[in-house]
Amino acid sequence: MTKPTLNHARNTLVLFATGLFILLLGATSIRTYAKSMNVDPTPTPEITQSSAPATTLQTNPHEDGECLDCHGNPALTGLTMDGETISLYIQPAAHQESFHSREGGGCNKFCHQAQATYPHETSTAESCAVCHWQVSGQAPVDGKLVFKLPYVDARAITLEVNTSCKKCHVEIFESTTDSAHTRIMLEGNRYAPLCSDCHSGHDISLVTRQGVSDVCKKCHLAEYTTYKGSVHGAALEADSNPDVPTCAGCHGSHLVSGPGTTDFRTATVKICGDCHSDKTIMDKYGISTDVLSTYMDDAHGLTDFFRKTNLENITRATCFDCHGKHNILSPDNPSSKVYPENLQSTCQQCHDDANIRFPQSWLSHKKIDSGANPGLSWTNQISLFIVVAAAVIILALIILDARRRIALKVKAGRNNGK
Amino acid sequence: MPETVEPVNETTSRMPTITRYVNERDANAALQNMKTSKDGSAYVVRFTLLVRLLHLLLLVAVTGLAFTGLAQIFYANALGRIMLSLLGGLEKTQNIHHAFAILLAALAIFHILDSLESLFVRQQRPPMLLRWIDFQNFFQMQVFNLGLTRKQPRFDRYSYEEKAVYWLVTLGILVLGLTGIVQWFPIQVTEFLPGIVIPYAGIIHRWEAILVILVVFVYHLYQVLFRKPDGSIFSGKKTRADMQMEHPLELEYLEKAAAAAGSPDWPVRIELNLSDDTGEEIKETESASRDTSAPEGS
Repeated sequence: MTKPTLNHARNTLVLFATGLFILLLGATSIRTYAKSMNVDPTPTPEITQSSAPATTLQTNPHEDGECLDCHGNPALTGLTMDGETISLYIQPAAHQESFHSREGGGCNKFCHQAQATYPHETSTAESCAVCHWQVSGQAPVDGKLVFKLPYVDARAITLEVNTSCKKCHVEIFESTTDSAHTRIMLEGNRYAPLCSDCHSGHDISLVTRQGVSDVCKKCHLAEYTTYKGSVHGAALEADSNPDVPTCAGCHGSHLVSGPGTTDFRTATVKICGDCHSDKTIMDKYGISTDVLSTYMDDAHGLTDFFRKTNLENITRATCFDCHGKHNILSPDNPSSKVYPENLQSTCQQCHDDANIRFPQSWLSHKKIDSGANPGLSWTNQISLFIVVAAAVIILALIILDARRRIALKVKAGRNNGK
Repeated sequence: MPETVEPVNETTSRMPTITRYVNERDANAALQNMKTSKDGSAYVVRFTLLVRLLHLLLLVAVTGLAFTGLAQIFYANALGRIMLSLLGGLEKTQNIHHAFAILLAALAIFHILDSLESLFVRQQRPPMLLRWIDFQNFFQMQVFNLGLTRKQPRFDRYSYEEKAVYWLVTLGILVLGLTGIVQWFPIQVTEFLPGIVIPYAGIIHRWEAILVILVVFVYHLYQVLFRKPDGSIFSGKKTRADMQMEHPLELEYLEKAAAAAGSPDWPVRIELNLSDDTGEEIKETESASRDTSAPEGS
């Protein structure tokens, strides 16, 4: 057997070629990967904002993702195609304290993808010229560095950015699709509220109870002013009362059904009833919890009960028809719609020709056996007694009669057998 | 028509009797209503076609009102909700209830007018009025049911049971109608009454309805269906044997009145026995000899 011999020269060549191949492969992969990360594979030296002023505007030293390099400058301003001037200055602290910055997202990671790369859709020379006006000779206008923006107006920017919220907040976004706010947006109202209108753009946080009113009143100022004077609103303003409903408490926050819809009328009984039949809440204010059951037992409420089971769709009186919507006051308040002297006009909202005696038929949410009207509770008791007595008598007579018949039948049977 | 109770012969019999005066028209009617069917059994025509039709309509109206009414009382109950969903919701239930109420009101008006005509124009003795004899019959019947006596009362056209049902239902319908109208037209009612009558009407209507339902669907159904099915209100006819058991006084009247037909002098005086012919004993073999299996009826 001959011993195999190593061909040293050939082996070295092969090893070298392989190494070169791997090196080239690796370099290409790294370069491709680095390019996909929008990072220049060749490292550049660090340049701080105020050091080394540009002497030429041909190379771009700013890294993608270092948004505050420019947007941290209070003078930064944008000019929309409509001629509107908007500030592009972002306070670093505002974003720092929001939920999003805690998630570690950069400006362009979730929301501002359109501005992901620097420069933003304009040529290098144009972008640099505005800030580095000493080099370009373009003097700032009124002390402001003005950029022409490729947007029609400020609202267009908001509309674009808000499309990114739904990528993470899927369920909330889906719940807004049936909302009245979405509906008016689809009808063409560009100023219908979007996520950032209520939650703000950069210092995003959960809206507090008091904050709800501040947000809603931006568009619904009249309703807010009325609400502020109502028993719920006054308590909220005074000591941030946790028991009263805010705007969102009745109307919802993300799924805002319009208040004029039949669905809302139906839901009102539950919205009001959930708190107003809860003893732990109502006892604090001395409010009766019979209100829901007495309403349901009454001509007004009987139909609502069945709206809940989707049997039919009727617009009989619901809570706010009598008690008011934003102007809810205590029934002891002479301005309240349900103050006894005011009841006739309240009833006349539906019962056109109700006279002064008509409201007397309303027992003010008091149960019959509560003793508020002794005549009624007495009549009820007596009637119950009579009916029970009649039932007992009827039963007794039937039993007596049947017993005798059966006994005689048995006897006759025995006689027949004889 | 005067009615007197006098003993026929104080020394020979203790049997009380009733005196009636028959006029020609009633005698002829009695003769016409005593018939024999093809198989030879005798029967009596008790109810005219009109009366049978009206009772049927009454039955339909009361059943409809009871069903739709109970559904509204017990709306919160699972059973009530089933009834309401069968009817198509509360609004439809209320409309059906109102429709039947109008039917019942029409029947009531007709009945009132018909009764007035009977009483004043045809001068007939009103058969449904409560008389002292009914209270006597009631007590006697209960004593009999308890087995303490063998004497059964003899019933005229309507026994105390039928009269009780009639009056409870009639007065009940009157109350229900009035309280129903108050609730149905609250605006018009408060034109001249204080508004508090409406909740009163609500309470009274609800309880009176339950009372009428008990009387009709428990007692009346027991009376005419469960203890011995009685279809005479629908067919109009009752066999003579049944009449002898259930309304012997009426049968005696009809037979005596029919016998008096063709008499030259009117009115004819007849006597009806308030007790059984034989006096006090009830034959124990009666139930064996009669063709029906049920014991003595009322």
